[in-house]
Amino acid sequence: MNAKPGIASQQTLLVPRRITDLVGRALFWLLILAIAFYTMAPFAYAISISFRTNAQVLVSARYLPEDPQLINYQNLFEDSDFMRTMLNSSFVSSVTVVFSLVVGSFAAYALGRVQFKGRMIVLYTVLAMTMFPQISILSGLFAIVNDLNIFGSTAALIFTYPIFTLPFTVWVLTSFFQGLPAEIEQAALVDGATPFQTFWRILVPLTAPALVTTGLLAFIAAWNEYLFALTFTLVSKSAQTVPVAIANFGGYGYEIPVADRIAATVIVTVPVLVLVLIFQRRIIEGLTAGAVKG
Amino acid sequence: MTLIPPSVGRRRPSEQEVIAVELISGLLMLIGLFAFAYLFYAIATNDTIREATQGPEIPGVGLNVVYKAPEGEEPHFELRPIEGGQAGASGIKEGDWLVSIDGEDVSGMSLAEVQARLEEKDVSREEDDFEITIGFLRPKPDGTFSQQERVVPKNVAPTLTIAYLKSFGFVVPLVVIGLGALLIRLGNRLRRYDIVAARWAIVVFLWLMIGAVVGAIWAFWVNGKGGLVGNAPFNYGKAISRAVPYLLAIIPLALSYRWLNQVIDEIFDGEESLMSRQTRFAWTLLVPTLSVLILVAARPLEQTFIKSLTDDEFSANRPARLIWFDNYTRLLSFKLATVECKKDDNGECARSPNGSIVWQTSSVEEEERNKLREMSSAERKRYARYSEASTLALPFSDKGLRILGKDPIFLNAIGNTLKFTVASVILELLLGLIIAMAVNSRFKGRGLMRAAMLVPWAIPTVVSAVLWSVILRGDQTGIFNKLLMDLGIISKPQQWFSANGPWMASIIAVDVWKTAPFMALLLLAGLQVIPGDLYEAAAVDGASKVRQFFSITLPMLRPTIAVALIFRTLDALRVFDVFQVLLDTTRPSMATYNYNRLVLTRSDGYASAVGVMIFILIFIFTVLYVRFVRIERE
Repeated sequence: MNAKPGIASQQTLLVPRRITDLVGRALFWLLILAIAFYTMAPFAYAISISFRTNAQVLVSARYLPEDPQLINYQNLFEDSDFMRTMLNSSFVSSVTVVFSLVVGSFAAYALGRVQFKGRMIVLYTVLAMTMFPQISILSGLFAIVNDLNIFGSTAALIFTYPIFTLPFTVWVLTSFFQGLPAEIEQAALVDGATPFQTFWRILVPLTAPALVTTGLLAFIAAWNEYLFALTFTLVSKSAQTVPVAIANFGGYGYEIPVADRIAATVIVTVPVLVLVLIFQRRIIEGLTAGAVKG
Repeated sequence: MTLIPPSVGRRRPSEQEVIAVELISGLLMLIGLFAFAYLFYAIATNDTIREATQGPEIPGVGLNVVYKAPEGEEPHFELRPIEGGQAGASGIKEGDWLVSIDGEDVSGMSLAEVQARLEEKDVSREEDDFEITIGFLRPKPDGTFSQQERVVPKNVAPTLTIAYLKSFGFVVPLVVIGLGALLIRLGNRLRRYDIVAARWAIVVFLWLMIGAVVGAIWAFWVNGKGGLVGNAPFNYGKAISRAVPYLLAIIPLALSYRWLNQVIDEIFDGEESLMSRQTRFAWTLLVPTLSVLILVAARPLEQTFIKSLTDDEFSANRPARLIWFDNYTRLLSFKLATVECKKDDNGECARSPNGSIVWQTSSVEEEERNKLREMSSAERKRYARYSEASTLALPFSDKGLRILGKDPIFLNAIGNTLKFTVASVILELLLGLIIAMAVNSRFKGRGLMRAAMLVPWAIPTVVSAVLWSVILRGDQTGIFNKLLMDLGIISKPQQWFSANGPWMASIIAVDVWKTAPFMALLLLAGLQVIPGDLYEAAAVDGASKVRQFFSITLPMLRPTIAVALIFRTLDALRVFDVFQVLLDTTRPSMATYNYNRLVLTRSDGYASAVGVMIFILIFIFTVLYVRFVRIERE
């Protein structure tokens, strides 16, 4: 990606006026600092809380822990239930992402590169699926999940998550496929490749960055999903995912174990943050190609 | 049966090949017929539909009555609950003496009258409460009686329409019938040695095979696991026995697929246009996505619409009734009235301790009160009256405008959601734009900064709501209060989420913090494709930075902004997690109101109507946006 910074590059062209320049620089860095503070401070505070005990958190607010302790983290890592919810979340999200990418890339290829009757209808039907609030289909889904005898298992989540990941995947990937030059297929067809070979051997590798981006976004969506997970795993703790576990941590009532909860928040956010850090470049590249044409 | 030979085949098929083609086309037609047959079988054997046509197994309260007039005893009606019926389950025992039905004394009635009463045939379905209160005397061993009363629910069959709609609906039957018809037609065309049909047949066999494999795995797993996962050992016997039919079905499919592939260019004939070839290829690729969407999304969506027309309730001991648009009228009926404020001693409007104006009751509320006074208690129970949703103070007067509704909480939910959506989307756009522009310029640590701005977005919404509920605690222990007090901005702790506090602003702030980064991300992507030379040229021409922003950045960014706005608006209209975690149930968003109705009061039909309302609102917004984007592009 050839990033072309807009504002910075023309600073060299301006007549050097030292003082205004200096003030501008200072203001710019102030802005950066403000943004950094705005986005990071709450999470930093979460980390700070996670080193205090419940009793301390309930009594007073402090910017930094008075005597940092690891007790919350110890509790969490010794809590096999919590570790299982981490496993459940990883499992459900990964399967959902792989499924959505495979199935979605098929559909996206058809919608993005092939001219056929009914294309627009299919495209808009898929888009319409994203217009429904999750909550309004909850009871209908509940009936299906019950009929299929998968209520209370991670399978119920794997079965239902494509409702929101699949249309999204299809939508973003379609615009990627549309962006690729048409010569690719023509060359392949001249070489005697079948349409499926063209798709699988040539186009899919070309869109690998897009697949990574879409996959990551879908992963985060599935990892963060709360409502379906809450409803379909209500009766069986063994299938619960991380958001449900944290929201229900220590039950209800006045003595909510705040510090434990926040420590859990920190732990579950770290994997996603690591993923975002690794793929940060890719995400922006991917969206550059996808969002604009949308 | 006459076999039609190919007209101008590439080569005449041998006798065996003719038979093979016949067999394969027969197989296709058979599968099509099987789809029809299975649909009708499913409808015919469906429990709910059978109950609707034949009545429930044990109708009514499940109670037989015998008239007894033994010598030396009073004549009386003896109760005999039918085994498995509702009366037995409610605690009525054989030998109890019937005293009253729904509060009415039975002495003096004939046996036929009593039986008719118990069946309640004369009660129209619309007003039936689906239960009967039975008073009876229970003989004790010492010869005395204890007087008792039980409320017994009635087994009533649903109407056929409801039974069918709730069990099958429209989408799945139509899809099954359509596909079945297509398969029969395909089989027929295959017999005419049409190469297009043969190619379609290959596609059909391929997907049927894949479907059978998936079905086998599914049957193996679902039947093997006993009950909820992990509660029982895996039952391999049952699992294998259920998976085998699917595996067996693969054999003829695979044979047909292979054979057709081998001979397709030799014995089949005809021309195929590029368009039809592409169409087939596209639909082949679309099969999995469409089947997932039909399986997972179509039915629930359709069910939501159907249920919203009924008074369905979870775990209620009665069938749902079709009430058409009653749910919607109840949700949406509202009245407006002007109200005067209560005057204090100085002749000014009185204010409550938290600063809000104290209003008098409105004319509508008076009317409703009078209406209620004239009603019987049963009517009063059913009647939904208009009550206050909210009151807006009119400027420059002592009057206020009061909005009253039959479901005031829902009216407020609409207001809350719209307020939330407009404010949060606008703020997100502004903040997102600032962040995106800042992060787009070149400076040391830009990569790190870009990752940092994604932190809020990476935290699960419900989890970040929990985090904010800690940060924004309403007393000394909230860090935000402490920060503001240390900075000298406020002098005493602020209640951020209390009903009298700035709760809407707090909710919006939490949501903006969470989603502005995503907005920034989308906008950053848009900024990156604006060519840098545009700015250079503008700078050479002496355009100021402000000018550059308004005449280059904004216009070039417009499509991206439009897409980002659509995404965010739709999400904001569906807002759920922050309201659910941070506020109580009296201040809902539309989605949390839907949830509360479903989970707390279990009124499925009513909740579905709320869901449909959300959908309609989102639909309107989408259409508006799509229009807007189109106009901008052309």
